[in-house]
Amino acid sequence: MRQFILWICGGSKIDRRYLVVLGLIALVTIGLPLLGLGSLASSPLGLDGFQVNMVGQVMAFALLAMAHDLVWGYAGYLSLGHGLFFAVGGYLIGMHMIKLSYVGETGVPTFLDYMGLTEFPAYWSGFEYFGYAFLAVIVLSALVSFLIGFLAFRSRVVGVYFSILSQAFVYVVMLVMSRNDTGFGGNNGIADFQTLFGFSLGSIEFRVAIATISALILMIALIGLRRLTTGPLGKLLVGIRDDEDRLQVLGYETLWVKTGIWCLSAMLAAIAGLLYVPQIQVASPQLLSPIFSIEIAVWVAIGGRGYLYGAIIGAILVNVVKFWLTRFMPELWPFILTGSVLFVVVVLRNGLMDPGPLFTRAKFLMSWRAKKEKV
Amino acid sequence: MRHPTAISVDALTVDFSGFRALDNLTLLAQYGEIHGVIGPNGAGKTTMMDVITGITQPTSGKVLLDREIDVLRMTLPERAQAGIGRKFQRPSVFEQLTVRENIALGVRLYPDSLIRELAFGEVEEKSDRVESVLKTISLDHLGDVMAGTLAHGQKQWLEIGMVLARDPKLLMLDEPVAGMSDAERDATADLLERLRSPARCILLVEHDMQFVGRVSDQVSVLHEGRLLCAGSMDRVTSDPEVIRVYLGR
Repeated sequence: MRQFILWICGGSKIDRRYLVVLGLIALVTIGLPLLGLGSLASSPLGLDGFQVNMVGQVMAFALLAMAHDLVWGYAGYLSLGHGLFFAVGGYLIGMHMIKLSYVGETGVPTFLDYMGLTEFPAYWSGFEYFGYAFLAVIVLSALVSFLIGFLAFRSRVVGVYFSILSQAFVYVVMLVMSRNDTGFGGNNGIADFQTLFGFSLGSIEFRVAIATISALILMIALIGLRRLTTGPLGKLLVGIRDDEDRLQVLGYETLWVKTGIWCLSAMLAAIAGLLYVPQIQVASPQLLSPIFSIEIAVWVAIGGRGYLYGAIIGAILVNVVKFWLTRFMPELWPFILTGSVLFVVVVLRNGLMDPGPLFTRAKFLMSWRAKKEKV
Repeated sequence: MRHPTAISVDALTVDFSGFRALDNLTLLAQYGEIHGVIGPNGAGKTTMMDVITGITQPTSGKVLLDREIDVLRMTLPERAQAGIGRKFQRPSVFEQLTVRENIALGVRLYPDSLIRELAFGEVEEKSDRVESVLKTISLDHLGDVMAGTLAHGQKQWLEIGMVLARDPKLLMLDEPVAGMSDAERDATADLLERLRSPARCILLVEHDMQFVGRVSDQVSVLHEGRLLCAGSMDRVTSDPEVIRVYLGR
């Protein structure tokens, strides 16, 4: 048993906080089908479709935040463009669902009809198969991230320049996708999805299933990344974050390590998008908005960088509060988000997972006062 | 007895937008020796090491390893793989990792070590190597301590250990005893003696003349980016030009 827990933790030490977060996600994974379907669903403990949906979306966001943390918390590169990869997964699964509803039928969706097309363009072929669409998500996100990552890292783009560059990419793609003649519905995006795997998207069965799968994938990804980052690769990433020149002089070609981690993170973000879009039933340029990409970084900053589970906690906290507040007090939300960002920046610079700065700050203030009294 | 040449720096010039850090510098260092490099501040000692490790690109000149390998055409990691190791002036260890993990970062037994470790976990030979390096630098009792909590002198040794883990042919040490107590200096001198080997050349940049005189076989004096004088410590310190510009007596 101990052996198994150590395997899950990776490395040689047991990490309680990590296990608690992992346990919570496991609880969500088991709890969703129990409380969403079956006899408990109608009891006071049961969840309705809206609540199940909310949990599912938050799970997809948590996966996205964790992917972001891999690059920011471990390799030290702040991406402000992770929405790009999220959108790749979202749009492609959207294409799959649209193509699926036109199997055996003639005609095209309105956004293609508008462009004067009477049948699907060539790049839509094959999208009626989920396997093909899934492969396309992985390959396209890997390809796009490789291009961005390789070029940026090879030219030694670092720090704030990297952040701006990643933001620029997501912005450009948003502009392109907002045009009606790009063929993806312009500002409205693609919607009118009917079914996935034979389930109607609105049915409670589908909502419970996709939310459970999202939680399950989050759990697997957390264990996988945890084992990856506690191993030799994790040490290397910390080395890149803290002193990259030193590593190169020790003989490491850091370019490949960085590009590899960046691509892995992008693929995970794309999978998160693939899980998210069937739940909100629309893939629009909003996914590509720079504001959304910045929000991802905010989740990670609030939760705490470099823990993986910190990013998950941050994404869950911010989004649960957001769901709740935008329902009851939408006008307060921007102030609360800004306030929590300021709080983290000023008081808890390493996020909620590291309360250390609170204490060192108090200590610093005390010693400063003592010094002042002496003078 | 003359040993084969380990590193030869030939007519090396580095211009930093108008400022000439190295000016036609020529320097030879042999295997089996500890070669001290001294000179006043701004003489170009650290710049020379930066060029050899690849951090700075020279304007012109040549650097050859083993008289045949053109170092300047290689990337930073390739130079390390060819056997060039360097300890920086400011101790640059990874403070968030333990002493043992720091040294493990230096060990790369095969070119594809990382892939092997990801697939099969830590290899046995690697931990043996880490332990032997820990013994060499006398930090074996601190293996699991975070590197950030080490004393300044211990960090210096740890960084030497990280570089040593790869068993470099050319070991460049930039001010290894700066900020050390007398006892730590003695320990460092012992360490350098242990590292001396017919298959290794140690280049030592240091301000502490006494320390350089104690451990080096050969000394080169740099001044304004040029080689002023080279030879044994006695010869160098009696050279009138060296006395005029550096020793100032």
